[in-house]
Amino acid sequence: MEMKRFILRVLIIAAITLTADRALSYAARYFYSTTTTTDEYKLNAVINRMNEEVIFMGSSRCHHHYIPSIISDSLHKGVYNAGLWGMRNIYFQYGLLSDVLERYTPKTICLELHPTDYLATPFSNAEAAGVLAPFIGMSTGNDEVMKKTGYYYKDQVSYLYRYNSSFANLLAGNLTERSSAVDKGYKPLGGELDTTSNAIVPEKFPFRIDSDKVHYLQAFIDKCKEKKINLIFLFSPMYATENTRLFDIPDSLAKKNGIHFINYYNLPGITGHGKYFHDFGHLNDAGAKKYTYYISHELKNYIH
Amino acid sequence: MVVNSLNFLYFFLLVFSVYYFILNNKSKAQNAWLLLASYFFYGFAEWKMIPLMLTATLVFYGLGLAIGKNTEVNEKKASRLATFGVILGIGLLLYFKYLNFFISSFSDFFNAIGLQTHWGMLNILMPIGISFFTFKLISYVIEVNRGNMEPCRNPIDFALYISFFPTILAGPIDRPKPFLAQLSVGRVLNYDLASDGLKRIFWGMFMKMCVADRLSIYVDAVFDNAEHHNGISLAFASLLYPVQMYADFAGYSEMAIGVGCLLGLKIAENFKRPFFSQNISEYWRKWHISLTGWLTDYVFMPVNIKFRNIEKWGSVIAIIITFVLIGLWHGAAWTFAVFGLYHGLLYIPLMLSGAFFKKGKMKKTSIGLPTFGVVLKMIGTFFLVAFGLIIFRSASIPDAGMIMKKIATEPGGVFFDPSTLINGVLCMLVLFIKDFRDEFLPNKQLFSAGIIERYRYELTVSTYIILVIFFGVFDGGQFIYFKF
Repeated sequence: MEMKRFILRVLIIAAITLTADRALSYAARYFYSTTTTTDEYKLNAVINRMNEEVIFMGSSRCHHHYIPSIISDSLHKGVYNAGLWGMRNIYFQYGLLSDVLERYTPKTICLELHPTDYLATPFSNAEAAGVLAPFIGMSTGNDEVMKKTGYYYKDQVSYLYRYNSSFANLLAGNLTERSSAVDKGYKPLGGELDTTSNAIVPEKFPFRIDSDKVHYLQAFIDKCKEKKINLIFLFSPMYATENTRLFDIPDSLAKKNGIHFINYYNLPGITGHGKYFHDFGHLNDAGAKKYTYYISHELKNYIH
Repeated sequence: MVVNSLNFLYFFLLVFSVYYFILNNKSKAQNAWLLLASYFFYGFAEWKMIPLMLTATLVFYGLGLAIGKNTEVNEKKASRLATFGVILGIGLLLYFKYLNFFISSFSDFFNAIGLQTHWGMLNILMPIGISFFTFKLISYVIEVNRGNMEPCRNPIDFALYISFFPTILAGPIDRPKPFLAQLSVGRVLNYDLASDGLKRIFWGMFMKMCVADRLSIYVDAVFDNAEHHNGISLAFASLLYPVQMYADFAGYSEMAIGVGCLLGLKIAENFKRPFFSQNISEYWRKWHISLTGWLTDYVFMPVNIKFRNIEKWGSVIAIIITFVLIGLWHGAAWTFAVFGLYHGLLYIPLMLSGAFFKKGKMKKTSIGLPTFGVVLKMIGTFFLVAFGLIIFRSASIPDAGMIMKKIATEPGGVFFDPSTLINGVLCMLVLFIKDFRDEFLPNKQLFSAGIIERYRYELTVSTYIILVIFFGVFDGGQFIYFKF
């Protein structure tokens, strides 16, 4: 008798929780769609509103390095920077591309690569795609990477869990205005690299090739081929460089698939100049402007 | 397998189902089943240490029987056996937890006075939960020797007391008599007890996942890079750390007690809203109660009696010894010893003024809230605790000194991580409101009629679950007290 009462009580709790979960997730989804700043805004804008012909994809080095207005003036085409900071590796890019392609097909995608896209770097596994949870069900590609994150089934049980930890961002995103410095997805970085206190050594990547990431990089390429998208690989400047075999994988994939790979890992005039860098791996606004003018000129050769 | 994980849920559902649906009300079979589950749980965390726990259990079981046999016929022998048990228990702790600490400390000391030593550290694997289960073993032989309980004649019951899975990794440290008494009768599901247990599990999850793990993101970022942060950021992190510690440890205790309730077993309480304390003595009566109670009974009281001829100063000596031991119980490092000493020293004014020996009632307003003066005392106590935890949290005494110096001398803007702080502070507020209500207005309820009153319990538990889903850190770290 006591057990039956207890089980009934547990069932009532489950029913209330499920109802509240669905209702609150609906509210969270609404506030997610109305946010005007933060990562939530960016993702929502990229997946649901972006309609430019040329888009730039990648992690933070894409987000802070490519200024759409400059490239747009040069190419006379609409350009959007869909980069997102936070070690967003190829799993995330594949899921994001899948979502975008459900709505429209850009003509050109410039994918800013990083070793986290093909090497087994620490702190950079499939969980990087976890922020795509609110878009579960939008595309098979998204759901595929969400399953790899391990969140997919939890997100199916609780819809509210898709918005886990996003309260502060939703609040800030709905209460504050978007910075006018943001230009079609580009976000400038300030400051200058202090070269006096830091040893000038190139960032090392002593990690093995991650075959699963390479598989998804190829899947990204295949999706672009399937939709006849002009895909270009990019690698923007680092502050310090070395002779390296860091680019073996993107080089071979580019050759194999007939993709242009514009590699400015070491770009004279920018590399080694602290005044153009925010830190060792990221250009500041001045560096981004200089680099974007340079790359936009180069891109004219590949985007018609 | 932490208590707030999916693995634990599957494990517990199996344990619960067999316990009540197959073995219902059969005490021996239920105890054997719980013992099996407990060893599986411990083995899942650290299977290599199962032989150690099993051997220690058998030895202390035998000691208990031998002491019990001699308490009336040969009191001296019983006392010698109990002393042997205590030494054995402490020896286990000393070997596994403190031996390397003593080696390095003595080595440093000899090197400092010019006697060069080259002592290497021993490769000793510290068993998880050793600080908890050795204290249970020791208290058992003492209690039997004092005649407070009969020795346990059933080895399965005794082994279950030592290894009971909700408490084996991080307490609370149950006393043998009340726990073993519960094992002697068969258990059927108690609706009220199980309901209370379920609620406490989810509240504990909220404390751990929404408050402790969220605040730890900020606190760790600041403390682990203390040399790069200014005094204001360090001071702010120092004020958040006590809350993180409380939410982490009390959260685990709530979950452990809740699991015990679901199995029909009452586990010792461990926290009673310690930040609503007017002085440090009251704080320690509400913080890690099962440890402070253990040390009060088995260290403070005997030492106090030993030094009673010097009156208050005897109590001072006893309290200093007790608190240094409390500090060292947390780990083999001088920071913990100094942390304990600091708290012991805070007791001296209370003891000399006589305030320690009085249990005065808290001054409250007509509606049951604390007066302004009481609130000020509580804030003062919180600051004292927070200051002590700087030592506790630091890797070394010089590190603690560096942090304190920065707090005193380096002003500047506070390091601000908006997402973490907004989520964390909001959950802290929920924790504060619940604790405040439980402490000062336990009988006041919102919506005392209607459907909300009818389903108050269910709505409360659902709210905890929803808070965990929305605000919880699901890839958070281990419980802080697992390493002790």
